Amino acid sequence: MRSLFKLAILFSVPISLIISIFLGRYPVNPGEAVRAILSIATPHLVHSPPETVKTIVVLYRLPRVLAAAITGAALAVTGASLQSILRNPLVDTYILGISAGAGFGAALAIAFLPPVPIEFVAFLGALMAFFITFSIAMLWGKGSVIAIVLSGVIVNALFQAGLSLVKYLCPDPYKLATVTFWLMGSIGAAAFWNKVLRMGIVVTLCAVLLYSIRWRLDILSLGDEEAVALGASPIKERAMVVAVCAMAVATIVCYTGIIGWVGLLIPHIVRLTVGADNRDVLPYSMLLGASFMVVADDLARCLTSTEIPIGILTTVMVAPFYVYLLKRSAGVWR
Amino acid sequence: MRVVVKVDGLRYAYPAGVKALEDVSFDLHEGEILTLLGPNGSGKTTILKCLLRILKPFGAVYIDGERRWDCLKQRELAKFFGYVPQAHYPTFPYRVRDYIAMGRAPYHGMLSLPSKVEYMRVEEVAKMLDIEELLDRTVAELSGGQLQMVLIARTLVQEAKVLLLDEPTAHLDVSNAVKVLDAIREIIKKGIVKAAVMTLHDPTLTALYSDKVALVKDGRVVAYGCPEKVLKSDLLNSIYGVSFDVFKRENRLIVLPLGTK
Amino acid sequence: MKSNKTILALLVLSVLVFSVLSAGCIGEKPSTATSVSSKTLSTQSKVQTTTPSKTEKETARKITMTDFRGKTIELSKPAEKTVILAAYWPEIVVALGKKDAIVGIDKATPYNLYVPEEIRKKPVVGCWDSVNVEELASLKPDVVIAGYYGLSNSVIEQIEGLGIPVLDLTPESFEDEIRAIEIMGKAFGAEDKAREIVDFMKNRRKKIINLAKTIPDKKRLKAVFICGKYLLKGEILVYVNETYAKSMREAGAIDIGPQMSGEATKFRFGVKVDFEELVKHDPDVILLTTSSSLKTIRQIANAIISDPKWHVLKAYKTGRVYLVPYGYVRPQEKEVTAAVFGWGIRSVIGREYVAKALYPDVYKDIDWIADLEYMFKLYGVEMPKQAYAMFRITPKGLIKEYVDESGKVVTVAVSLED
Repeated sequence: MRSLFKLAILFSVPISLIISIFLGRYPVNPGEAVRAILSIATPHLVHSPPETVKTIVVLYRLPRVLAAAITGAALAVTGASLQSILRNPLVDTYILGISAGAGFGAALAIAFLPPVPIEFVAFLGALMAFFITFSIAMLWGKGSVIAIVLSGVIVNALFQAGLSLVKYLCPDPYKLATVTFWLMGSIGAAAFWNKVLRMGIVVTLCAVLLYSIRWRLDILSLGDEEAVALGASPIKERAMVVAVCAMAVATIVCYTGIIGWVGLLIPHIVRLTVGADNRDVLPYSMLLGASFMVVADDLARCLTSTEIPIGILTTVMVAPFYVYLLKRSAGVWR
Repeated sequence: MRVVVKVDGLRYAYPAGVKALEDVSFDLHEGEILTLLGPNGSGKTTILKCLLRILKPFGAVYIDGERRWDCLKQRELAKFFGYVPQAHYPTFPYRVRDYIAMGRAPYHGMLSLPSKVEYMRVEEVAKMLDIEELLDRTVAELSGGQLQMVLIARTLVQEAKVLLLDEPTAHLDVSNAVKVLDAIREIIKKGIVKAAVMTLHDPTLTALYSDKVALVKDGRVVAYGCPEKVLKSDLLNSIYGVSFDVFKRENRLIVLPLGTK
Repeated sequence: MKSNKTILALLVLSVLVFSVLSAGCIGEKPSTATSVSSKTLSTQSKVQTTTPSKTEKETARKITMTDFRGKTIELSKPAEKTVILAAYWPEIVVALGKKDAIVGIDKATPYNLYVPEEIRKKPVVGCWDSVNVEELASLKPDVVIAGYYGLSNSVIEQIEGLGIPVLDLTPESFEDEIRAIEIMGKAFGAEDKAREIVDFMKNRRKKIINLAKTIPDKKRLKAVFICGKYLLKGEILVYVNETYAKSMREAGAIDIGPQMSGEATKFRFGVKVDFEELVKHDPDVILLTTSSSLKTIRQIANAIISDPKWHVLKAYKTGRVYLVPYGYVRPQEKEVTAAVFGWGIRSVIGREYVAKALYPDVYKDIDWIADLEYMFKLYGVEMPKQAYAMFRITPKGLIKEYVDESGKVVTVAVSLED
């Protein structure tokens, strides 16, 4: 049964990616879509479709679909890692205060710093928030699990207050509205090749790092005492994992805004279908996160002529699926 | 009998300044089960945690004769001491096979994974402890007694030389408690581990299963030696505030609690 | 290590203290301060409006108005002091010749170049939810004018509780703007001037609508109005019901916004639309809202010029992507251009700008620049000639068209570097 799920998750990625290239509001028939992509790789062999079609497929759909995949994979794998080291299956990727930091940075950029690109300041805000969380947890809380969680909560509150302050001080009422809309997540904002490349590189590095220590995450999830007794250094190792996750998440958040629930629920679903061991949970979370986000974004941009905010879709899509799984495996968890 | 662990003058105070251990000393010989006996909060678990360097105490601990304890890296120490905590369910429902395999952690860096050979060892250990049929279940499905055996299995896979068991019979019914203690005695007799230190709060079980006993009260070892010498009714009374009847029956030491007289 | 800890401690402490203080300031509810006094004052307010002994002359001078809430406001005589907590209405009050009556302004007005400097320096009372009601009361206004981005309902209640009448003139259409100006004219005893302004506005709009009727069906262009700021984030927000969309339709364009957004025409503001929809409909003209800052204009232009997927659009290829500045022109900003859209007289200037962008031939007799100058004269404000410019994006880059000192039309390329 487990292997069936594994196969399904594995195949969902290429299937969803390929199908998504054929989906879109602009009418493109599958043949044209294929030719559009091939004509980039082999311009002499394949006859390119009309300019407009090629532009849509290669410069819009392809980067957008990849951005969705990268975002989903990043959120899911960091969620899974954080859940392991914080020993709590209810941890979401944003527990470290990163989302609040990004929102604060974006608000600052929109309200007061017009010439600087919003994403850059949002990224700095995210990193700053993480840095404060990290410092408080390590220096004052000795790097314990509860210290990390609590300082994340404090930093979240801090940056929310900062955000409110920025909104309050902002003299231009039009910008106020922009701030609110920035915070709503959207994959479309990241649908550019340069952004996709940046996200892709950072997320790949972080994902590879996390994947390589996937067994170690199991050990860390046993608790500090048992981990030490097995020869680990939980405080140092936890700090490293947290930093790597923060890097990945900050990069994603500054481009796409805040898309919740994926980091929390995808690893959950993977554990219920494939098993709790991180040697499976990490890679399959990445895969399922990617295909899930791709499908969600397909719905967001294709279902109606207006774009549906993706946060709504992710919540609606995951919740019932998760309830069903929970019923099926009642009693597995204690 | 060779001394495998020598504890000399262990002192520990919590960061707040509260003194937890004061001048704790004892020896652990090869083939021995040493029980740390005392009421709740006496510091016996603290002693174990200090040995494992989960807590960092003052004092000296000699392993295998040499004063290597301070100089050892945590990973090396983990190849010597095997920690069996009180049975508790982990956060995630790992498969028993994988859970036991985690004992191999000291032999791997951050990046490596357990091999097939190591997984074969898991099967061997499971067979030895008679828990083979549990291997493909998840840890959450186990009973308390089964979980305790699984935790012991983990230290065997760890190839620990000395086991440190914290209250291995807590929350277990009589049959499971006996099974666990018998298993511990068995693996020491077979030489799979060299010795074991366990904390117990039950004097009766202590009397039946220990080769040496250390009575711990308020962070001090008030008595140390063979069970006959240590498990005296007046000593036990001073520690527990309850009277005990201590006698020998068929060459076994029996300790029975009598009441609060 | 110890010094690290103290530095960090100080840092965290100062951030915490600062955020607590600011959160405290945000949370401060003026109502708690004034709730007691409002009770005592409300009895006095009743006295103000109904004096027992009135001669016929006095009753004739009484001014009665109905604001946009449907509430009747009575003033015994034209207001001599007012606090304006609304966007754009300070410009109108100045245009009515009553700038001396303004004793208090909202937070955004100091950033409005279209309002004379002396007004920008008046006491700032707040806006929306954070209004210092005591400060407002201490200025003793005869009436408070509320409007777009002005005041929340709860604050209006507080102010009225102090016995100060509030005129809520939040407009949603051209007709609303006319009515608002007329009401303000009445309130300040400047009805003649109000009529002049209103006639001017109606006149100009009628001209556009009439000219639009002369456009033959096959010459009508498909156009869409998009928010420029959202483009910087990579999203397309289409206006469907706002003044912008209406101005396009009045000028004779086929607004494809509703087609692109389907059912979403119910929304007042704008709707987010997928890029592929834009390509599917491929409008002849694209209009983008922008702020009046050259920096923002350059950024928006850059976002389009440097993004190859925009290059397939007809509007881009034919150089018919126009930038329409709206909102406030900041006095502190170094490089600005004249903002043409907003409530009030501006809505007519903006309409002319849009009309000219869409069909320069049909509307060749419309001189939005001359009308802008007329508006500035009413405002007592000036901008350099260079600032009366129309910006558009072409494959060759950003282009600016304006009329120089000698009356010649100058077309110049604008560099995308600051």
